Amino acid sequence: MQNLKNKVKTYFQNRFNVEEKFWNNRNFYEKGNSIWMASQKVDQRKDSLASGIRTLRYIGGKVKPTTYILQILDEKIKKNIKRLNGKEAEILILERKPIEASFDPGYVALKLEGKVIGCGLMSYQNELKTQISKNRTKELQEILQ
Amino acid sequence: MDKYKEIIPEFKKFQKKIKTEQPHDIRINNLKASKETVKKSLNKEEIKFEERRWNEKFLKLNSNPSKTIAHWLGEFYIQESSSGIPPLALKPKPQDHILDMCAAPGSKTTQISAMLKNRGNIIANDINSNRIRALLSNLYRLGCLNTQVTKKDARNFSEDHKFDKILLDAPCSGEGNVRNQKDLLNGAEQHEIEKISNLQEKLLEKAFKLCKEGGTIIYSTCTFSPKENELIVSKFLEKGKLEKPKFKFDHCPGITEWKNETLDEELKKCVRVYPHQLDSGGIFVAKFKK
Repeated sequence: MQNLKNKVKTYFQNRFNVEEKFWNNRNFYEKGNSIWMASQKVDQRKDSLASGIRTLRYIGGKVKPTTYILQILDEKIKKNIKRLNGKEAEILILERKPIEASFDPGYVALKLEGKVIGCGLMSYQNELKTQISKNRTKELQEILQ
Repeated sequence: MDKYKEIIPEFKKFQKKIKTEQPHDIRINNLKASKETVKKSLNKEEIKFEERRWNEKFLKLNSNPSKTIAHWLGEFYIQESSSGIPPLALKPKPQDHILDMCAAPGSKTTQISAMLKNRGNIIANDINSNRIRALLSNLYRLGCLNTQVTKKDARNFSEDHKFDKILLDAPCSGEGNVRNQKDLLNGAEQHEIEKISNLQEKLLEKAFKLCKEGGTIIYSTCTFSPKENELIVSKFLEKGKLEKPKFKFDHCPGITEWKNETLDEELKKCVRVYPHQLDSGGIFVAKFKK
């Protein structure tokens, strides 16, 4: 469990500059190709479908932060943040098309109206694409339109 | 609802109220946002609101806030303020091992999670796959880290571990939702009430088996029917001591007479809230100490 905690702490420290202390009093476990985070006293029943929140997904040997954890982190994210203006939100979220951006390749926190709404992926071609799931995007599209 | 004329006080007020639309209430989710943040978001969306004086976590709105970013982000939960009463009676503490037996879609689970400020350990159980999907979605959206979800028929929940506190918000005929479901204006069908009361009794029986000695069980419904409320509770008076929750808002005691039958005086310690009392839905709460 300590390895998982270190993995999570290190990833978010390096990519998003999240302070280590955020992860205090949290337990981590692996399930369904992901690392999950729960409060310290949650006792991981064998029959539970899920405990806490999915935090990182394993994808192609790397890890991807979930939209939910980025929303929880919000102001604690200090690096790799893309603040979307109206036009950019329209293209990225409503049309699900890439926009130009300049970050190091990897995952980026998307911010709209001052709040982190989810995850984007910066490619080597200076393109930023949304990584917010289709279902959650559909809900957001109904709000933004 | 004429059949309840003798047990509902200010019956004319009640009748008038149940014909009106239910207000849009929200509960501030302190895991994600402060009341001030939510108020700012509502102002931005030009949604008018007023405080629910009897519960500072709730606001009454003049329109549906579901299509807002604040809602999408889990800064608040759309929840009738009357349905926020059972978790208040439960009084969860961080050291409690808590079971929400019929949890989906999660209004009370997420409320308990927030009351505990993400500490402690809550098991949220439900039997229905679709409703579990909604429960999980709400837990993630609201940022609840102290909750795990199980999918079981609560009647068969394993007794290997016992709980300090149990919330049984039982399936019921839902008469308390009449302001949103006008087909209930004449009350629920009697055969539905009979059928569901059998299930309620079995669930409460299981709750007692799952509860530690000295633990707390909250039995709640959102219906007016004594058959689903006091008549269920009365069957368990020897298994647990009823405690009257200390509520400062307008409410009624449990009834001690129904259809010419005299019921146990202890049932006065139950709580009934009617739509015209809090301008919300109807709720029934019984608090047992095992």
